[in-house]
Amino acid sequence: MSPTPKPPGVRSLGLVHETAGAAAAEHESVTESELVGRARSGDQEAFGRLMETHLERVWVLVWRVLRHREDTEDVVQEVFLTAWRSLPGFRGEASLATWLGKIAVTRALNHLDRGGVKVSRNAVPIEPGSGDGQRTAGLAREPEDGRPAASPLRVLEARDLGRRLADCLGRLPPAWRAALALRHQDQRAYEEIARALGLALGTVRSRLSRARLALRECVESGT
Amino acid sequence: MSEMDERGHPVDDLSALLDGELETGERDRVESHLAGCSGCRALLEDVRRLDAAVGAEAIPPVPPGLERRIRAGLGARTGGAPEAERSGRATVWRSWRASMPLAAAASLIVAAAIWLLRPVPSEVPRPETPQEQASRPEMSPPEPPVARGDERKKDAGASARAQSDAISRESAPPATRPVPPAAEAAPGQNVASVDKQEPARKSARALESEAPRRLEAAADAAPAPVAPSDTRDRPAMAQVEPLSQSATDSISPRAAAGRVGWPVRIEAPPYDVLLTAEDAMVVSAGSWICRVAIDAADGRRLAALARSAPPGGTVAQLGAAQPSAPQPGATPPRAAQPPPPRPSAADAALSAIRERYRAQIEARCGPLPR
Repeated sequence: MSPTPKPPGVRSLGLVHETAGAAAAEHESVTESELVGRARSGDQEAFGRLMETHLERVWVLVWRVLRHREDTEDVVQEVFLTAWRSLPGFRGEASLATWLGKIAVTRALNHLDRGGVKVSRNAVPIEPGSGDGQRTAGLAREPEDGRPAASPLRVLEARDLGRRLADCLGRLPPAWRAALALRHQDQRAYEEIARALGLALGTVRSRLSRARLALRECVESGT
Repeated sequence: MSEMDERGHPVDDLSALLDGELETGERDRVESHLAGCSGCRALLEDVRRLDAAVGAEAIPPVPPGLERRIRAGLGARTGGAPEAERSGRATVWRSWRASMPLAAAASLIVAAAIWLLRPVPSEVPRPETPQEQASRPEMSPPEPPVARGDERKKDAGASARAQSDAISRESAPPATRPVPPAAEAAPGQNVASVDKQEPARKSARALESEAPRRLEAAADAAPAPVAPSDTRDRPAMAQVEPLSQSATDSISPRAAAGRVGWPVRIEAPPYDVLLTAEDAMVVSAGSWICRVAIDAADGRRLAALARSAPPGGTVAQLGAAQPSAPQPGATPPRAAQPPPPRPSAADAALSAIRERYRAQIEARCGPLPR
């Protein structure tokens, strides 16, 4: 089931009301294009309107990578100021949302690299290539007789699950979190994620798979 | 591009299967394997569950004033470099502060060496040379331009703070930061907060099944503090009235809708629905849970419906076209509750959305539980 691509601009303007359809999509697309055009020529108000529309989405994306409110605040500012400066070079080949998403993820990962910030401040990170998230992890408890395995995940208390999930997400390698964040935003196709992260398609697929398996193993083990 | 583990299980393909990213041949092969492998089916179900819980995780709302600060930093593009660099400087400043302990130690060593090697010992401190005066700002740098100004303006003495800040950034868990009142928290946290404060109400929530509780817990577990949203800076979709504590108290156990930020939660027995800021809908019922992407307009329509319900009002029955009988063991709605506004319109809208996504939901997660 391939994700259904959305027409550019339909979602991103945030002006869509109850009458979504082809005509509305066209209208919204034009409107965003107009705003981009005006912003490109230095119209701050037009850029402000674009920012109103995209701020929350950028915020969510950056937070999912950094998982730290103050850092997210810094990076989101950077993202929009970078976008403002770089807008003259934006050719509109991708949607504005995609373009901003790419800036957001890049900036967030750079922030982690440059600042030496430990995202999971007190936790041991799950390292790529460690036992966590490797292929064998998924079926380590597979019974020999082929009967359904009782997943510890399913018997976890709700609150434990939430806490463990938050903790484990914080311990994932940031690059894995970035892939997950992009996937969770609009259910982006792997191809789009690959473009945003500058990776090969197979790497994205592998990264998402390992991230999910690592997450599962981490949540189950509770460590 | 198919990967099997050493035991022949297509473990690495399950994630792509979940995302609908397998090509036809690959998908057929994996599905065929799944039909005969309970271990892989269980793994797929676990991954799907976790994926839905991740998607439903509560995200702290955009802080008040952030948009204003960004706007203030824009400046004219041609001459705006100093202003535009503010936010970058905030981060550079943070990195710089992190290195302050080493710099301070190095400076102390140099100062000690100069003192020991001075040519004319004297008890009287000699006046500073212009060079020394010029070098002092390196030890006590000026405050950086304000990016998140309030906190940083308040404390002075950057040099002394540098060490403690660097340490606290490394070690202080986010939970040590102040947490705002429950009434101002995100919707999922609203409901959960009520539970914490009023254990007796838990029984009134008897029809909450496992999956909704899991979702609430996932929402609870957001490690960063949740601040009240500044509706002036938020998109129109999120401009809603904060839910007061009294209003929270009067939410019916049968139907509730969050009113601040995201995710928006709708209890529509037997379903529990979370709308996320990322245009996804997480539907759960009992141990069944499914997350699907939805059109932004549908998300807005559902959120508007949820938010239009009065406290204590029933939003609608998302799962059934006709009103459903009370769940066994569920507390019936209170007699004093006002009737829901335009229930037929809400029912119709929810039914339409349910039907629109039924195929997608069932293709992804199997039949909708009844």
